[in-house]
Amino acid sequence: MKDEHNIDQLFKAGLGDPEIPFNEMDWEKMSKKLDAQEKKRILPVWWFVGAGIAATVLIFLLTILLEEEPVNKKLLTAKTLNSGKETVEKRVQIEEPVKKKNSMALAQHSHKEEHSNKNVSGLKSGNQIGEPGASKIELVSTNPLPAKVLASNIQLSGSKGDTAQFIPMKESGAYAGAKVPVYANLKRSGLTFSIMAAPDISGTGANVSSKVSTNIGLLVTYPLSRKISVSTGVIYAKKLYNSAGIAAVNNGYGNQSWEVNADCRVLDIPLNVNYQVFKKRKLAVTVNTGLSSYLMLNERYDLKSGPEGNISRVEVSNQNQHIFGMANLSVSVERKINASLSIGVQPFVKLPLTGIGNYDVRLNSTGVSVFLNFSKLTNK
Amino acid sequence: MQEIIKGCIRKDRSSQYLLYKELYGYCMGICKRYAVNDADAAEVLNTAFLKAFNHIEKYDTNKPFKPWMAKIMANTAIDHYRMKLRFSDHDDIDEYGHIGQGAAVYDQLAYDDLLNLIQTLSPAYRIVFNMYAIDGYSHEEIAEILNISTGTSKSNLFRARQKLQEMLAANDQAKTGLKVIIAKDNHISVNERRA
Repeated sequence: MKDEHNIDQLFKAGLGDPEIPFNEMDWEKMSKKLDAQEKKRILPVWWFVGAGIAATVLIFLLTILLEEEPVNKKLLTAKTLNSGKETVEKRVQIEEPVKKKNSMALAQHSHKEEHSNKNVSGLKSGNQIGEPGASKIELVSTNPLPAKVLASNIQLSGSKGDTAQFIPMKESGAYAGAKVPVYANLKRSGLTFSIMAAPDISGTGANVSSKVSTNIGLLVTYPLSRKISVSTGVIYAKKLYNSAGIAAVNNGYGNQSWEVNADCRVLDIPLNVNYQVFKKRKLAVTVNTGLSSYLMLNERYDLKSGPEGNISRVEVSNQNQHIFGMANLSVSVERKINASLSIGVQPFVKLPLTGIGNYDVRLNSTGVSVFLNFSKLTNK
Repeated sequence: MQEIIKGCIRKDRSSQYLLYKELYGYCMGICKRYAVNDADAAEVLNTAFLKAFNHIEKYDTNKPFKPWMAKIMANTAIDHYRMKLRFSDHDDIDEYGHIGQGAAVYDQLAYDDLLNLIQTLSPAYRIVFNMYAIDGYSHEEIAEILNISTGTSKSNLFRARQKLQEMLAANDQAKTGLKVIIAKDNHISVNERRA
């Protein structure tokens, strides 16, 4: 039997069918909601285009990577076939142009860089040594860096590396075929492109179980000075998080466990400032800080409650944009693979400056990003 | 009305507009009494309308349309409450101490005043009061939907009524009508007080 009460009746009658004037503003919002939903249906086309672009970039990067490997292999072959006549004959053909370029590069470096003296003197001593030893060749294969980088390493590896790069061409054609010295002619252009992927743990501070969210993105970095650079890009993130627990006693909400599972697709557009705190040989450590804008593409919230685990779902699309709503903080450790490529890891935290998503959640993320940097090289 | 609904099934925007305009007041009335404020109500309203537009083909044309919409409104408002509750820091648990502004004396209570009073209730009381007293859910249903015990549902209803009563009394200066209500209120069973 239902317990009827006159307070109930008073409110039921009083609030039953009120005359609320129509508000055109609300329809405007409704109209936008409907538009957004239609857009969502068109969106997949853009995803295909986006995926296409990403794939192209990836293939491009892989091509470069694969192109580098044969060089090292060749050198290793050269090492074993040091006196093999065939190898010598083949590589003599390419000897000329490479030599030219190297001398050009040398000239440039002596003008430009303060280390160039050491560089050149290293070379000269190398020239006098004459026959290249196997150990020197090895250095080439592991040190295919521009003269600039080698020079900064000074003395040991620097001069040895240069020795290995330049002598072989004079003394024996066997090593001239190696592409490595070509890097000496190349200088970094301004921009560095990065492709990154990162698992992270996102949550509201009340997580019961940690779910791993995924991020994948393309970033571009522009150096402002030797140590400071700015970077931006686009990161597509699938943020999974939950909020759950047992309600406090006597709070009026009941005392059973509940759980909200959220699945949000987010475009994260970061704008970060990077400061290089450490650099030695191939290793560089950078501290990064900045802001991210979150564009919530799709948000889905599943509320699980009761012993039967009834689920109710709320889903919104393209409703929430948080311009510079997140603060980024990270440290990246980067190691060079060759002149144009480097690989690194980057532990990061993302902290909310505003409430994120449909329910204004204090959403934070902690994770480690793995990235591949590609700096375009220009021929000087 | 049937024509408008057919238009909505075709996703025709002008039909959607007509339906929205036609049922705006009725639906907003439901959203407002569940909501904390007007902005909250408008948000729930549009979310519910979006659901309705998306699933309008599921509506059985032999039945009246308004209750179908009312059900969607209430369900969306309840979902909204649950989500807000789960993600919030539970700041709003404490009973709201303040009295709704502008609440008139009992026999002059107009819609706005009643709305003001119900919106002054704490969210946990308001939702149970709405579901039970106005939308006709049973305590068992409320308990299941909100994942609370039936005891909590009953106790919240009791406290919601008590709170509303106090507010009415505070706003009432000399009317005798209210005293009758208070007197009637005293027979609430002991069972109901059990948390």
